[in-house]
Parts: sequence; structure tokens; C-alpha cells
Amino acid sequence: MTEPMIRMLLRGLGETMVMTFGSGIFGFVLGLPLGAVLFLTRPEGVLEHKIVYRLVSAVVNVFRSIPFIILIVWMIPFTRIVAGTSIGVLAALVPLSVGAAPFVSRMVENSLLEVPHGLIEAARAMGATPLQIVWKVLLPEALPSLVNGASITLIALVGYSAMGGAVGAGGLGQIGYQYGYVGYDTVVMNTVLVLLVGLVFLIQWLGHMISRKTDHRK
Amino acid sequence: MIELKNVSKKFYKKRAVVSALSDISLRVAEGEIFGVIGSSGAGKSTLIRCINLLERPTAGQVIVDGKDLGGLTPQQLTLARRDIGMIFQHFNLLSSRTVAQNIAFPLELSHTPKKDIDRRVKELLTLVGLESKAQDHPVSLSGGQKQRVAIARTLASHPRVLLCDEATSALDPETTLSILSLLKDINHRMGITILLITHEMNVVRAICDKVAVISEGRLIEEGEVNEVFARPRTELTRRFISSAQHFVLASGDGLVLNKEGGGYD
Ligand SMILES: Nc1ncnc2c1ncn2[C@@H]1O[C@H](COP(=O)(O)OP(=O)(O)OP(=O)(O)O)[C@@H](O)[C@H]1O
Ligand SMILES: [Mg+2]
Repeated sequence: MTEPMIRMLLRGLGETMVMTFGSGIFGFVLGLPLGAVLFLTRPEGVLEHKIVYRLVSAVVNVFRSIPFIILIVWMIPFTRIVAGTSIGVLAALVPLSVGAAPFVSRMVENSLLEVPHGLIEAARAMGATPLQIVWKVLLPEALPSLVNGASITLIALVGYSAMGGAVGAGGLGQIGYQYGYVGYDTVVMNTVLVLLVGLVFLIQWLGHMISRKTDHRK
Repeated sequence: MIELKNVSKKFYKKRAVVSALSDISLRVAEGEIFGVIGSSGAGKSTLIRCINLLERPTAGQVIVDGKDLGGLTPQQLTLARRDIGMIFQHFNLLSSRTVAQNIAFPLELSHTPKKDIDRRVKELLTLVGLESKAQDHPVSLSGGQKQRVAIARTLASHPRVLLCDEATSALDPETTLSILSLLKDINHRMGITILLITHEMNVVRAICDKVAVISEGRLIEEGEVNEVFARPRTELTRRFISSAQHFVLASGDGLVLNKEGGGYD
């Protein structure tokens, strides 16, 4: 492999990581509050509210059922407004984050549902406000499960960002597309593959470690 | 200190209506330890959960420390609950927090300064005899120790009233005894009014001043513990009393419980 190629692959890896972790962060910023709202307003929830629950739930379901490649293309006009362009890493962060948010919110809702109901009762009995219940009870108690969910989300985002590469998002996906689909280069293709698999393994391992460190239930 | 006026609670299920409490009136005086006993499904938990409005009564009034809780806004109710302690059968400690952090929890809720929290947590750890466990997580504690942490936690915000929902039902007889004497001690020293529910007459005999018997959501008997034991008026009460005596005869631990528990009468 020539040196420019190595440099290109390293830059691709960097871009993929920026897209994955960047949209992961934005996805959580959007998805975590949505997930908490879903949990609180669900039937029998702490702040049960039929209309809010149904509305948020419907929006989340709609966005979750749009295939990601379609979401990217459909969002191009919006992406142009937000990022000023529709190609490159920065532009890819927009649809990736929007794609991740509903995924994250369902995952957060499920993690919060695993928190024993008695803990919420006890917190209410001690005079915790709904916000305090979320911050001081639900999120800390659900942390190990949230971390697991985060690694699943990030792994999905590695895949999404590679898909984005096919439509100009950059990263390993774009390199793989150019050197594999447009013209086949065995060395580059195999390197892209190894890098992507390595990245996924790294995320999984980190997630597992952190989740175990934060779990005091066993 | 606690007054229930004609409290009823119905649960509306898909088809059926479950009447968990029917027209319950009772009054717990300041500084008293009041026991409510009943069989499984009698409505004990529903009753105690109505007192801090974890469950809203369908009808009737709940007055705690002079406040009609039903008339409060959600914010006022949240604040009122900080003066009403509660402990549970399954302890409900936060697994993510250490013992000390669990005890600090209600103080954090009321935005107590860090310095005061640390001081209060130390006091409470000493009170319940768990100084050495301050930095442990609940998972490594025994049931009795967990309940001690829960008691310390609920006392942190200086409640005037303590509600106990089967607080000793998950514990063995000896640990039950130690938790009961801790509750008695707290009642004695701090003048905290205690309402406890149980399905064991032994618990009532050990620490309660007064007792009420509920069956199928109705209050069927109420009075001074000595009175009720000497002259039970209903068949159910008689059964509870005799089961308590059998329990004492049947197990070696029970004898200890009876002897030391009797010391409180
Ligand atoms: N959230 C609820 N929804 C519907 N029915 C309920 C609910 N909570 C309690 N009930 C019903 O109310 C009745 C009283 O229940 P409660 O839990 O108060 O009994 P209990 O005396 O505490 O019993 P146990 O000793 O088993 O804890 C039962 O018939 C129960 O099925
Ligand atoms: Mg119960």
C-alpha cells in the first residue's frame, strides 16, 4: 500500500469516528429527553399524559421506520439549511443524528422501564419532583443498561455512516464505495473491512467495560 | 397527627371495580405507634399509600399534621411528603448509591448544603449502627442492614410521621426484633408518630400502642393493644391473636421475640 493510500484510509477512519460519535452525542441529546418524556407520560407513568405520549410515540415510530438511506436523501434540503452543504462529514451529522434520536429514545424508554417500580415509589414518597426522579433515580439506576444501549446505538451508527458514504458523506464508507463498487481494489477493500469491524469491536468492548463498572446490582 | 375521614378507594379495572377501602375513618395521635393488621389483600398497603397520597382516595379526607393533603397542589404535596417518612417491605434502596449516598438522598432533594448533609448522614449512620458500612453499596448488605439504611434515609429529613409498609415481613424473627426495637427507640427519642401495617400480631404486640384490624377494605376493630388482646370482639381478631401465640410456641426464636418484645408492653 502506498503512503497516500494509508493516509486516505486513516482520514476515512477518523471521519467515520467523527460521524459515529458526533451523531451519537447529538442523537442522545435529542433522544434522551424524548425517551424520558415517553417513560414519564406513558399510561400509569409518573406524569401520565395520553396526548403527549401518543404524539411523541407516533413521531418516534414514523422516523424509526424510514430506511436510513431514504432519510438522508429526503433530508437534503434541511441539511443544506443547517450545515450549509449536503456533502461531507458535517452534513452527514444532520441525518445521522435525526436517524439516531428515535432509536435512542425507545432504547432509553426501555432502560427506564427496567428500573424497579419500588424505587420510583420511594422517591415519590420522599417528596422528589418528577425532574428529580429522572435525574437522581431513573438515570443513575438505569445507567448500566443505558450504556449498553449506547453501544448498540453507536454500532448501528457505524453502519449508517458507511451507508452515508455512498452518497458523499466521506469516511470509510465512501472509500469502500469508490474502491469496491466503482473499481475493485482488494487491498483497500479488505483494509476498510478490517477497520470497520475493529471499530465495532472496540465500541462493544468499551460499552461492556463501562456497563460493568457502573453496575452495582450484583 | 394522622386523620382519615371516611376514606374509600376503588380501583377501576377494565371491567370490574375493586373496592380496596370502604369508608375508613381513623385517628392516630401524636407520638403514638399505631398498628394496622389484616390478611393478604385486605387493603393494608392501599391504606398506607393513601396517607401520603401515593394513591389518591376515591372519596374522603386525609389530614396529616393538620394539612388536608387532598387539597394541596402537586408542588405543595411534594413538599408535604418530605415530612412523612415511609419504609417498605423490600427496602427500595438505590443500588447505584452507597449507603451514605442513599441516606443523603432526601437531603439532596431539599437542596440541603453539602456540609449539613455530611453531618446529618454521620449522625444517622451512628443512630442505626452502620458507621462501618457508609461506603458500601446496598447489594452487599443483609436484609436487616438494608432496612436500617432505609430507616436512616427516611429519618434524614426529620419527618414527623413514619409509615411502615410491612417493614419486617422480609426479615427473620431476630432481625425483625432488632428493627422493631429501633423503631420503638426512634418513636421514644424523637416523638415520631408511627403507623405500621403488618399481617403479624407479634409485631403489633411488640411495639404498638393501638391497633386496627381491617378485612376486605373495612375497619372491623380498633382499640388499645392490651384491650384488644384481652377482649377481641371479632372472630378474625381472635384468629390473629391465636396465630401469634402459636408462632411463639412453635419456634425457638419466637420465644426470644416474645420475651423481649413483651418488654415493650
Ligand atoms: N393498583 C391497583 N390496581 C387494581 N387493584 C389494586 C391495586 N392495588 C391494590 N389493588 C387491589 O386492592 C386490594 C387490596 O390490596 P392491598 O395491596 O392494599 O392489600 P394488602 O392488604 O396490602 O395485601 P398484602 O398483605 O398481600 O400486601 C386487593 O384486592 C388488590 O388486588
Ligand atoms: Mg401489601
